[in-house]
Amino acid sequence: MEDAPRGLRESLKRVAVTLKEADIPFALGGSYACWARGGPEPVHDVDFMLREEDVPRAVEVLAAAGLRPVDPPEDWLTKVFDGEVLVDLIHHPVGRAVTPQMLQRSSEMSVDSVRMPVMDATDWFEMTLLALEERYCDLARVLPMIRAMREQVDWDQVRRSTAASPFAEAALLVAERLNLIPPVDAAPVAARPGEIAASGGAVVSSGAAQRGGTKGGKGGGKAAADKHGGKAEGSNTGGANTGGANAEGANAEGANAEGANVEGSNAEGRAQEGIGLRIGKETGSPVPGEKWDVAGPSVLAGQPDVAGQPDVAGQSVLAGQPDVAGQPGLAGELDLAEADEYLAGELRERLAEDPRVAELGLEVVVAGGCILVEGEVATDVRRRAVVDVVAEAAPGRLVRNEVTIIGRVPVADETAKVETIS
Amino acid sequence: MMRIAAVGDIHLGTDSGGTFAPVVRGLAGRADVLLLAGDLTQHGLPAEAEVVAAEVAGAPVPVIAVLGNHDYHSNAEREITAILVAAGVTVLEGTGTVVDIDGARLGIAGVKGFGGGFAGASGTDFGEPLMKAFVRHTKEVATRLRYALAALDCDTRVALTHYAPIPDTLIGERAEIYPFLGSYHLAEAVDAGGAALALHGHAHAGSERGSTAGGVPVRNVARPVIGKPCALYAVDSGAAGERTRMATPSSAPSVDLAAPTAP
Repeated sequence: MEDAPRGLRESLKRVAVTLKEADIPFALGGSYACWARGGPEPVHDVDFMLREEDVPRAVEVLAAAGLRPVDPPEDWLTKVFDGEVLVDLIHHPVGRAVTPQMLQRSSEMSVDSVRMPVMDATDWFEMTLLALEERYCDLARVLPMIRAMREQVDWDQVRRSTAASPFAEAALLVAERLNLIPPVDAAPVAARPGEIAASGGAVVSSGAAQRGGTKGGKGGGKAAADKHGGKAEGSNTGGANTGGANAEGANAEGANAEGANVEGSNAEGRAQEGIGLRIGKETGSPVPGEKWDVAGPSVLAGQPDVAGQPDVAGQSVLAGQPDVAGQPGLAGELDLAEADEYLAGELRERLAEDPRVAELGLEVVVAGGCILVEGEVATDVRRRAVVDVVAEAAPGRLVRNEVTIIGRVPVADETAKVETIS
Repeated sequence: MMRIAAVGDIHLGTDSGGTFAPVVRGLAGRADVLLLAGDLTQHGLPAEAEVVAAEVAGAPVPVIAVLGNHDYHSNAEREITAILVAAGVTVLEGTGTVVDIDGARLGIAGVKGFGGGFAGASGTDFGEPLMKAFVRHTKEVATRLRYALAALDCDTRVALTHYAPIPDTLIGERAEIYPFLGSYHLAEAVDAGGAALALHGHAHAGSERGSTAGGVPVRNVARPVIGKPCALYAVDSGAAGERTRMATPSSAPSVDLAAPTAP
């Protein structure tokens, strides 16, 4: 077994070099990404993250390089053998697609003397914690990894994105109680009007400053949030947000050149995905600005739509239909002081009733002052409108939009299977 | 063999033009008929129905549809039906149609259906007027499906609904919402009406395959469930219907028909 890791590393390097030479974007993932970032060395696992559309070409070049592809029954990865060593090519870890943004957030690191992109530490923990489940929740494996990588991770971002998982919550609680990771923000983005977004921003930015002090400032989502804090200061109110901008500036300056680059690209990546958005209180809609490219236009695009349906609303009013409550403009803010699960239920109904989204199947989780929305909608406009609808109903809350767009294949798949009914 | 293409819950909005037409065009030579299992629009707006009509106009095969709950949302289901019919779509609601496929007759009967729940965990025609109206509406549409199936003069019958007839194809949805996703009265109608196949949509997080207590295959063709632009089924003409065909439906309804709850 002593040789096993060395064999694994050779295979790891062979695959990485082959993918690099073929210009296929990828990132080292799995436990070797953890190892590259200071964690324990794995003994049986080599995982690479790729976009799904790149997998066939990756398999092709790896086969040409002498590796043996196998087609596993799982639909979220494929496998290649390098001799005895199994290499996983993962395109849908924990059910989420590997995105170009995720690959951009990875950092170029030297792994056993070969430079290759290694998955972002925050992304890595999001996936690792979301993979915990009832039959696989051994914290004894997870805690050493938290110890090894803790200063590279934006833990608030991990908390937000794993809020739906009780297993992740448990792991983070244990890590927090062991003082491995910073505690949850003492003042979560709560429902007090006015200063809320501002105080939230201040908490976030001070956290960023701490991270900047310990290491070159890796936290991807944090960078985005901080940057937003800066933006909010420009168009909203709140001196504390200015602090956010300052903290970020100092952070970037304090980091070495490479760290600053990494952080910049991280911020970009997060913003493109439109996650970790903070909602301005005053307008009840996202604060306009660069970081709001995702939410901003859809507010503008969404409103005329609504206004363009006066007949619908009018009929409802005349008929005294209760669904009037779901119409924007008539729907007020929800009672944010009520229990999280009621708020989640009300938001779910809002998302179904609001004509901008009108999707009945979305899941809403409210935890720690943050709102997570998951599920699928048909178009990107509807996906972006999710944030608007939630923002209007629950201003001041942090919203994470994990809603994805139902895959639209433009042409009927010629190879689609025909089922024979007999 | 009759080749059936089917999909539900395409949820086209006014911004969806051009997304579904390629799928429809791609059916030439691969399917004999396209069945749409409801929720063709997102908000039930006539403007959205115009988008649907434009996408399926000029389809290489007959297009047969039922509406879904989304298509009723703006109280414009009649207008939507008219727009689709003008584009050549056969819209079923308690009615049926027969398509001739190389001499074999494929009959399709359709209703939107409704909720109510499944045997052992269903709403009952008891209590408040609203509750009774809810359950009676379900029973009524199920009865109409049964008669529409029985009235088809064809070799093979297919039942097309938006709501689910069985809970098997809901697996993946939260059990608490099953009563909003379908009703076992629809499955009773599928069995009694002698269908060879039942297709439905509505449950985006459900599962594709199941069968009724009478052994009729049921497929949830909601777009997110099938994971492709449309599902394709090949049905043997004639044979499958006989297996589930139990008897000629009795002439009297087995359930009391309530007064229609909607105009």
